[in-house]
Amino acid sequence: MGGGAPLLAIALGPEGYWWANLLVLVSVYSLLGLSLNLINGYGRMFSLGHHGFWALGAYGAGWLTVALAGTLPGPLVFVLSCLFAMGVAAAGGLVIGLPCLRLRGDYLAIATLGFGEIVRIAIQNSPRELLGGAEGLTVPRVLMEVGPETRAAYRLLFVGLGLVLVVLVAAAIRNYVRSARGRAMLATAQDEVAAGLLGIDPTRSKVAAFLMGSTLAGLAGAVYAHYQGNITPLEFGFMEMVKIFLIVVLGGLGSISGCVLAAFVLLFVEQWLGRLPDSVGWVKEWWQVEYALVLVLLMIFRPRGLLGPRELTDVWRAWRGRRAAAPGRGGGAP
Amino acid sequence: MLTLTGVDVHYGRVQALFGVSLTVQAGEIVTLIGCNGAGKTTLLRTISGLLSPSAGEVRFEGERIDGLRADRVVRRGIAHCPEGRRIFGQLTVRENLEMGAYVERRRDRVQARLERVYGLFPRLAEREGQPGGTLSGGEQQMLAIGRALMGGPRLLLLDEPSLGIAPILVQEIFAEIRRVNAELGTTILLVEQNAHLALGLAARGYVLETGRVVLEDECRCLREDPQVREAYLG
Ligand SMILES: Nc1ncnc2c1ncn2[C@@H]1O[C@H](COP(=O)(O)OP(=O)(O)OP(=O)(O)O)[C@@H](O)[C@H]1O
Ligand SMILES: [Mg+2]
Repeated sequence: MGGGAPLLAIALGPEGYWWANLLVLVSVYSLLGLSLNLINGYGRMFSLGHHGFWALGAYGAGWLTVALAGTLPGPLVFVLSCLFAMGVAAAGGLVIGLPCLRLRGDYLAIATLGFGEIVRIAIQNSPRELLGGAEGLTVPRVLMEVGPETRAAYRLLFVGLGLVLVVLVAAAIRNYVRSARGRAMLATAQDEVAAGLLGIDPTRSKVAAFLMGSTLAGLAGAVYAHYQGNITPLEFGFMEMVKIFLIVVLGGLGSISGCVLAAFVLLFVEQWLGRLPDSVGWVKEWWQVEYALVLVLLMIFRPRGLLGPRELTDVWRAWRGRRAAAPGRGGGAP
Repeated sequence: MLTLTGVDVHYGRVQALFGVSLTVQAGEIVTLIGCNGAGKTTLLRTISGLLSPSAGEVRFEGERIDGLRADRVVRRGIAHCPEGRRIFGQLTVRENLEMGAYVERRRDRVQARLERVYGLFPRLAEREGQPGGTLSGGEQQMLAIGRALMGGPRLLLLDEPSLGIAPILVQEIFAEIRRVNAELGTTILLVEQNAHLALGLAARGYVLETGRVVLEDECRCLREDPQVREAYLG
């Protein structure tokens, strides 16, 4: 790849560079959205701690990469750190999920909310040698050297990686939801008692969904940490939770394609606003407020999300169907 | 097949059942009638493991099942078709039925049961792909019964299948319940407020009042009983 990299940078241009960054972020937030969708969408539990699992994954991957960099081949370190990140996030999910999921609804929201904050604060106050503390953790580049000439190639590599992961995770979730266990999860979400009467263990079903969701958030964290190369605790604040939740709600609770589209729209607007000059900085701040506002309004008026659990293909088919059924514009009544 | 002896059940500090004893023989249809709040639903929930008794025991085919969790009791062969139907509104009719066979891993058996349920309730076959929530009340009741049958139970607990359903449909549903018992040999414990219907269908009956069994007899005798006539058939 070495000799081609500078050429790539030129071919990509500043615009292409911006788009590549956007696409990587879209895939990270899509992974976050898809995984939260397992918990809050399909599972109808109410977790507010997804940023915590994301942070656990990012820092888990970062820590292991620091520890292993140079001792093992780079790609192997990358893969190991991803698995480790998922493991750490899953452990977090188990610690917080097991006690709460036996209880009803609101406990989970409160406990996970606290959990997300605790994770962030703990990292912030961690010893600098361990996780970098408030100043952040530098994650060694293990996949390729990153210099001024190879930055574009690095971004493109992550565009591809992100895309593959999103497709894989989306396919896995789709298969799961259609499997017997996945159906059991959907049934439990709709009516726990009825599900229990059919032989489903509701607690197990909920814990499974919650664990899968937190594990995948850990994966998103690993990708994010490797991509950024430097992570700080501030990046994993509650505002991120609001953003992820907004993606899930905009995309429709229980819709895979909707979730990816929502991630794209949200990040596109955000990144685009980021390019505005400082003189109109208020727009950016206002946009942050907007997130919360839109979320609240959606929860009130469209609690199942903008499109509901439908996939984009369903919406498209319904729309085409309606158009076909509508009388032609030119012709009068028969 | 099923025996309850001296069962007490509490909701927190409130006692809902007082020393209830009851038996159901294999192949029977037994009914349990009583007014609102008598404890009928509580009794079924205790059998199916949603509640556990504070005293007494529940035996199914000789083994104690009190204290077992609901998802364990189903595996012993008891299906509970709950009050208010509780079907999964967002799953299709077929998916609802398939959920009913969750504990059955063999595809061929699931398929055979599905055909049997469609045979009993042809309306469900017609609406196979429709979300359960869009069915009428009567159809939802059929779906709830069908779903319970999908597990292949030996004992079926039915909680007020006539609740909120048009009289003609109720007739149809009761006819199918009789067929389930006659053709599949499923034993049935039927809870009803509609004593006319229940005593017409079942062979034996229990009358429950404020958590206690006050009468127990063959249904034809219960129908003649002056107390029953006044309180439930009047
Ligand atoms: N979850 C609960 N918590 C506390 N008390 C309850 C609960 N469920 C039922 N009870 C009480 O237990 C008693 C029996 O109720 P149950 O639902 O078994 O009656 P039922 O015979 O099924 O009545 P209905 O015909 O109206 O369905 C009632 O006094 C009721 O108030
Ligand atoms: Mg009842």
